[in-house]
Amino acid sequence: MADMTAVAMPKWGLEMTEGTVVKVHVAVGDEVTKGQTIMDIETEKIANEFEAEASGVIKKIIVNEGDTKVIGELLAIIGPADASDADVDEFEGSYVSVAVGRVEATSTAAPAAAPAPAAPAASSAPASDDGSVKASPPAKRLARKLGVDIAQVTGTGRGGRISADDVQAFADAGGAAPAAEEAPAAAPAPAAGGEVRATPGAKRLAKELGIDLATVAGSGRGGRISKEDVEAAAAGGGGAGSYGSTPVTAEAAPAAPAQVIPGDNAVTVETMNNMRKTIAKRLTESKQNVPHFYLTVDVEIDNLLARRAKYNKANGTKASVNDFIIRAAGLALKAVPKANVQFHGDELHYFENADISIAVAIDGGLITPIVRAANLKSVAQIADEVKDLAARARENKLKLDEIQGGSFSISNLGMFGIKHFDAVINPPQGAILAVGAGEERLVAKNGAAAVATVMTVTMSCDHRAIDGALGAEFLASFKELLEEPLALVI
Amino acid sequence: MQLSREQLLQAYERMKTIREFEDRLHEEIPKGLIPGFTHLYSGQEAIAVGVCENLTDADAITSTHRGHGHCIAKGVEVKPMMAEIYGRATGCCNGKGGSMHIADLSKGMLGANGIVGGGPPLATGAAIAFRNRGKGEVAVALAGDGSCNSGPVFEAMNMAVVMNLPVIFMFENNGYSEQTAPAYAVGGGKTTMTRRAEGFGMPATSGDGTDFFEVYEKTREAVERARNGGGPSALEFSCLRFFGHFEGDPQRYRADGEVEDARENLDCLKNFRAKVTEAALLEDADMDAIDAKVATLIDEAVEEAIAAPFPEPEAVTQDVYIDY
Amino acid sequence: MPVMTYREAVTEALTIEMNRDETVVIMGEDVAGGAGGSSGVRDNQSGIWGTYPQFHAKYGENRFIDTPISEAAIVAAAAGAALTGLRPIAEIMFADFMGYCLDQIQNQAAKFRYMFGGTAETPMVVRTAYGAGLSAAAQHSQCMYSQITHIPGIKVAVPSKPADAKGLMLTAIRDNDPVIFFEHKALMAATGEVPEGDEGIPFGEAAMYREGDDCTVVAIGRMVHFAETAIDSLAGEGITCDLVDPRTTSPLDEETILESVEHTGRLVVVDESNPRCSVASDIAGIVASKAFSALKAPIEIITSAHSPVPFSPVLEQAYLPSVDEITAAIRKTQD
Repeated sequence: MADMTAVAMPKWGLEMTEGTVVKVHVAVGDEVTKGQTIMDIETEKIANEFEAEASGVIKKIIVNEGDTKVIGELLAIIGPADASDADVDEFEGSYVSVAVGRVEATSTAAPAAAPAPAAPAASSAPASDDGSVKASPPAKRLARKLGVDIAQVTGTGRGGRISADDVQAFADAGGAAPAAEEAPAAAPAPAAGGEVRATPGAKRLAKELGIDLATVAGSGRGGRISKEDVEAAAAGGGGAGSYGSTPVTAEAAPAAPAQVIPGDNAVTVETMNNMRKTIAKRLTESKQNVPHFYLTVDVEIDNLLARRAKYNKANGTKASVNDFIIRAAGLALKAVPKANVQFHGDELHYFENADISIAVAIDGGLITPIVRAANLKSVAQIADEVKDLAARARENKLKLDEIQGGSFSISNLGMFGIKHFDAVINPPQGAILAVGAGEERLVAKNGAAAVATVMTVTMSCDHRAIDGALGAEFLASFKELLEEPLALVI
Repeated sequence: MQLSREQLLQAYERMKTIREFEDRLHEEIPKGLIPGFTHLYSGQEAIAVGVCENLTDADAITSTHRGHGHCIAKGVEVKPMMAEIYGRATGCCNGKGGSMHIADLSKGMLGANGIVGGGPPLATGAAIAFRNRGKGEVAVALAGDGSCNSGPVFEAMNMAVVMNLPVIFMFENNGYSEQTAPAYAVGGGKTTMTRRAEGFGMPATSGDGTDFFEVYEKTREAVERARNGGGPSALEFSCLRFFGHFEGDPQRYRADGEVEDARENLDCLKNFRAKVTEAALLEDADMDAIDAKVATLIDEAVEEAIAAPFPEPEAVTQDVYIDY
Repeated sequence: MPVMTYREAVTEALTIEMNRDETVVIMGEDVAGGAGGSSGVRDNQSGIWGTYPQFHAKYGENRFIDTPISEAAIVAAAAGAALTGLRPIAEIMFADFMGYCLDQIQNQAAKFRYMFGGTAETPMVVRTAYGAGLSAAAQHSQCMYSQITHIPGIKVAVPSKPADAKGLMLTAIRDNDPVIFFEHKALMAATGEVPEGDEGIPFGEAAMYREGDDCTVVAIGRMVHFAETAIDSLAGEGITCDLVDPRTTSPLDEETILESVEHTGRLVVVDESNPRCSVASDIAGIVASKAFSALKAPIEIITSAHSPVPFSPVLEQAYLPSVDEITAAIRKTQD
């Protein structure tokens, strides 16, 4: 049975409801292959060849040439050669068309008419919901808001109808309940007869929480109970309030009310913005997944400082020590190309040029714009670029291609006086260099004491992409370039 | 390029008329008698006139919200135009349309259009009618840089190509669309519309919109092509509008001195005068006479418009349909 | 309570939400203005209606976006951004331009939640200026909210007063459904009291700006002001009216309208739309079918003429509803 295939009238196009079999190209017992034309079918608009959906043997043909059948009706059966007639008959007997017909304008077939399309505010009954208080809905809303028991207000309208002005006057004369207790004071009792007016969401939640809706005060129009009312009842008090009466915290809104923890130490809770959240997520991932190891060298930078002064004077530039460091890193990555790498699961990606990310502190966080091909750029060019990137970083004006990518990062905390630190790698980059402050230190040279300006740098390496010897090779090249800086400026 | 003395005089007169008309409106509007919004064309005259000098009354143009110049260039009478702008019953649209909807179908002016990008598809449609009539008529869509990002404009261009229609798309880049420059809003840099049009499969060229002669000559080629069944073309001409987007625009987006500089160095009337006198085609005296004539015409137009009656209230529901 | 203009009230709401939530972004033509201009100065007039003072400086180009003139792309982009985490406010400069972006409103934004089986949310706002009275002529003066109210899946707000403009805008931005927010251009300078704070006004809750016994007047947008004048002029004759301002036409506060008609027995609807298939005819139909037995007189419907908006001021005045028409209609219901 499982091998039998129904050949049914197909539905071609939006409008087809039936088709006429013009020609049958096969006979019972014929072997057919999938895709073979077995019939020609015509509709009002289309004449087309009908192909077999499966391969097999034509076991039965139920239709004659010239017959018109509704879509989904059985026309023939394809099956294995050895299927018995009984199998075929059983298949035919249990066949049910699954074709979806059109929505016709018949009253029996149509489902019950859709409920009145009006929004939640619609009510098909006149609005005096509980029949006892004659007041306009805005008056009732105001009463709830002011904590006025509307049943106590005298209406000045015809028939004793209570207006908003009436409610206000009553409240002004001291008729409001002390605390803005919206639920009991204002809400009219649920409709007589025990039927509780509640939104479907409220009913579901009440059931979930095991709360009897009859005990919940509804803050909606006509005492209607909302989900919030149920939640409030579950939380044990305080009116749920109508929408908007408390500052709304929409899902996306980061602002939360300040919480005060008892004790003498006041806490200000700040919800993280998207940037901080991203930084947190990425750094955590990096620390958890990347096998970091750290290599430290001290670099004597007296020559560099002298070179820098000459260079800036000659070129009228204001290149910083960090700009020279970027160039040195670029050249070192070119000299030790295996260190210029990104880690990608089963692959290591090595790059032609050194795209170096520079950490820039901005308001509330950190961003790392990239200096592309630092090995190809002069110090002056790097200086200009870094200045521009940093400025735009602070104004939130970096483009995506300026922060995505790179194989190596440099983070410099020297200006804050930090002597040494270990930075966290930015995956998928292979390494990051942490640069400390240059300071005068006592060093030993050829057995004698001397003073030199020394800067400590630490390279964090991803051990999956860079091993100790490779990292050391990079640092050696980097150190040499900085200590003999002519190569940086040629 | 063949332009007779009469044609040159007419070209100058038309450009001068536009300039006077618009400059005068700029003075009149603050007085409060002119209702609604107005968008002035001063600085762009060479484009409207350079195009329309190649056309007859049987040819059609579509326009933008900045349509007074297009109207005058196409030969629409000035006095009914002025009355229309003042909202009077004697206006060319009976006071119903105003500045942004000013039209005269008898002159082939299919109306100024308050919808950016509304014109080109209409022009494509006119071109279908002309193609079917087979009399060699053409349609020209005058559109601004602001319309360069409007979907229907691209639909119109493609349709013109695939149907080989006698329509010309003239993009007037007047420096700004509302308060935004094409450098920001139109991707691809200078002469983008030329290259976009070529991308659609039609010949396209660009030029200096303050040079009447260049506009005239390049339009002439495009019109000839269209008349001879060669299909659509596009033109992109640049200039600078002297006034704001609308009257009352604070124009903070313009550098100090930009307008003064434009009136000095990008004035198509000055350019024209210099060229024709240098080439001894016309004399200053000829053009001075025209200046005087135009000044009088505009004075009269304003006076008569102010004195003209307003429409009767019953007119509100007239001409909604043909019969009522 | 502070008094401010309608436009200032809108600005206040926008500012509150732009400050509160960085996923709120504003996009539209010349919302700042000056992009690419030779002066390098951005912010030509703080948006066409002056509702974005210093927004460009405060919020930057990623959140306050000048767009090319491409209404279809603007609204479609807003819809796409809304599906993927932003809360865009797209400005369509004049409601008349909705022709260009109707597909994006009607076939895209309105239908995502439904078509995708409740798995999508499209928290976008389209704010637009509507209405006649400033001689802006046929293509810059239409209402358009009637056509949009018709569309299932879209919410429509038409505030008449500064306080409503602020409160409804706050709600519109916070609402996770697509909202089209119609602001009458002739109301921009109207003043009124506006509560401080950030409380939104719920959709589907009408305001009752007058309460009385003899006739219910339901008015939309700027027509609320016309109706107030008409109603106040009748007090001397001893005729008092309920004035219901639905504030949102979708969802519509039917309950308030019906309760009011139950009370007064008479209805006048005032709507600046053209008459056929207008919000006015919609409200009249609802009342006639649901409160028929309460009616003591035929419903009076006042709309603009069935014509495009004419340019000449005399004609435009004749085109629009007038206070006199409203007064006459109220009196007629009392006969």
